[in-house]
Amino acid sequence: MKLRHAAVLALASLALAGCKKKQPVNNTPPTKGPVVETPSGPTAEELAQAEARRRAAARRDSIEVETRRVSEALEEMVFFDYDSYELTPEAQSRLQRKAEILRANPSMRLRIEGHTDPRGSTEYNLALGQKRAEVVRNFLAEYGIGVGRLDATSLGEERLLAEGEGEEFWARNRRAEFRPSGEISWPPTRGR
Amino acid sequence: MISRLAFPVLLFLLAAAPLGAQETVFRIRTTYVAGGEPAFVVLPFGAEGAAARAIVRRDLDFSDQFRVRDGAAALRPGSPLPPALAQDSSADWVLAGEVSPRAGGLALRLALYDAKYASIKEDRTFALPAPDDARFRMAVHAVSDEVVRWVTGEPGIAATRIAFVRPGRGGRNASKEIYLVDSDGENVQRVTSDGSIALSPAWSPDGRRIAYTSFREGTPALYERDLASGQDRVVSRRDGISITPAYAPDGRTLAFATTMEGTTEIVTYDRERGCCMEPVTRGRRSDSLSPTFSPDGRQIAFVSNRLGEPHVYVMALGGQPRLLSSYRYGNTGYNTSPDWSPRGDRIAFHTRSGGSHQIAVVNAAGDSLRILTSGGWNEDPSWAPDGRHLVFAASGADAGLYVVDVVTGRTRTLVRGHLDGLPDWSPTLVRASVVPTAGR
Repeated sequence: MKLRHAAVLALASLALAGCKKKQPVNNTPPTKGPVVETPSGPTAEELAQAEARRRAAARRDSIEVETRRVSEALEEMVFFDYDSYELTPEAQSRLQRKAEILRANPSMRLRIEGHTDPRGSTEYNLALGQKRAEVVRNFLAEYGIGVGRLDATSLGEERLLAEGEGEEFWARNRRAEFRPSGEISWPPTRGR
Repeated sequence: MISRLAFPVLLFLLAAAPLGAQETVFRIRTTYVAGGEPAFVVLPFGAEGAAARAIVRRDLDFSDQFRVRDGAAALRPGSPLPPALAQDSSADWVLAGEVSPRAGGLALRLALYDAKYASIKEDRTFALPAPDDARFRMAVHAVSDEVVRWVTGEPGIAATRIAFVRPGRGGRNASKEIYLVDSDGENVQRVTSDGSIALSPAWSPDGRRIAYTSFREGTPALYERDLASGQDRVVSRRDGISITPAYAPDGRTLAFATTMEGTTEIVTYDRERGCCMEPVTRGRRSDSLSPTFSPDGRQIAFVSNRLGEPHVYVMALGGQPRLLSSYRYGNTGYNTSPDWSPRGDRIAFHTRSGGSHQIAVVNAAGDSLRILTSGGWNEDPSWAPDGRHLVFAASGADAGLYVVDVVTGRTRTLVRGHLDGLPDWSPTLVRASVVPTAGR
């Protein structure tokens, strides 16, 4: 997905940026005085380079961790009650987290897909799925996310997550799914 | 395909209540009473005519307007009725047939005898393609429709097809494509091959095009397929959904449901000019979908959830909606997929009844609501051009598409063995081609 590509690009550019030019070795003979054996070990230059590499690796890891955190939070589904498009308190708090992330990463977009359980008519469930996606979009918009960054569509009952009879299966299908795209902003701004 | 042996079994299931341990697809609430229709004897058409005769005989049976049986007498069409048949008081009509070669195919001569008066009512010769021609079956179906018109005054419905949605293999990620089947359950053909999800086929009134919803570009959009060329054109591809198409009787206007400012609304579209979407419904928080036109094109029936749950409404275009399905305060209802009979008098839809979905029929004025089926799970009714046969989708044990005659309650299997759904019955597609002959 695009997020991974962004991370790879970020890593590559960091790797390039982390390389510093090597300093020439001092080959002039020592001045008069006792011959002192210097202990073999890293020079100051080498120490600095190793530190830079460590920092670059730590930064790569942080970006990867952050990218994964952002992905997971954005892709986390929200669920709905039967024949309803109201947002439960749990759904609202998940959406609030998404809104914060979207605010902190202004180049990211989100595609929202509404789904239903398989009861009811195929065609009506397309409309219900769309209603769920729109309600989610409106909620995020109220938290300041521009609607141009949010696409809302419906898959009705056409892509079931779980099949079977009974409320346990049906509840898992009444959901909105999210497909994020775009790049995370680095360094992260406040408002995680 | 339904075998003759199945009929007595079906009758038994229809008549008996409660049923035994075996689960049935559905039960029809009208008890089928044999014996009311005129008795129709079909004589042999000769060896060359056997293929055509088999199709005609079955079409006459499927019209549910006759008690059809086979006769043995060899009778040349046009010759006088033999005394044995003329004196048979159990025959009302006798059909004699004969096939002869002609340029490009066959000629089928049929003579219809009024048995009570031993007189010839009709004697015509029809042009048919050769039996191995792809158009042969439909051409014979068109002849059957003429024979029905000879007796009843109204043409039959054999020269029609049903469009429907069939899921492929592959479980949860299977594709769904549009298919066609002839009215007698033969000749299943595939129309779309998008590898995506196709839904809600709707025939144009001239039978040449099918509008449908497809997810092939990622979201549910509306397309129109020209059946002869196989070409698609985009009708509506917008943010949100474009679903449930229906043609007006003039073939020029297409109504469908689409996302407008956050709700699903019905609009009309001028398909001739390829433009000009006009809103039909306007709900603030409610959704409207599944339009179906009255035969005069002035009204639509549709689904709206303005009462909280989906109900069927009727509305004159430009007028106010009137509730058609039953509403009782505090009761949860679920009524969707209306289809307006081509005769104008009735609207079929499916409704939640006793915890499952069942087919209901109501007068267009709103009275005499009847629930037609019970048992199983039955949805998405579509009227045949005669306004008395309905095709619908049954799921469960013997899932498939079934045809029911609302007058007699007689049912038959159309296709079985797949989770087929969302059927739509075409208009008459082919008319019989009469060969003019001298002296008749």
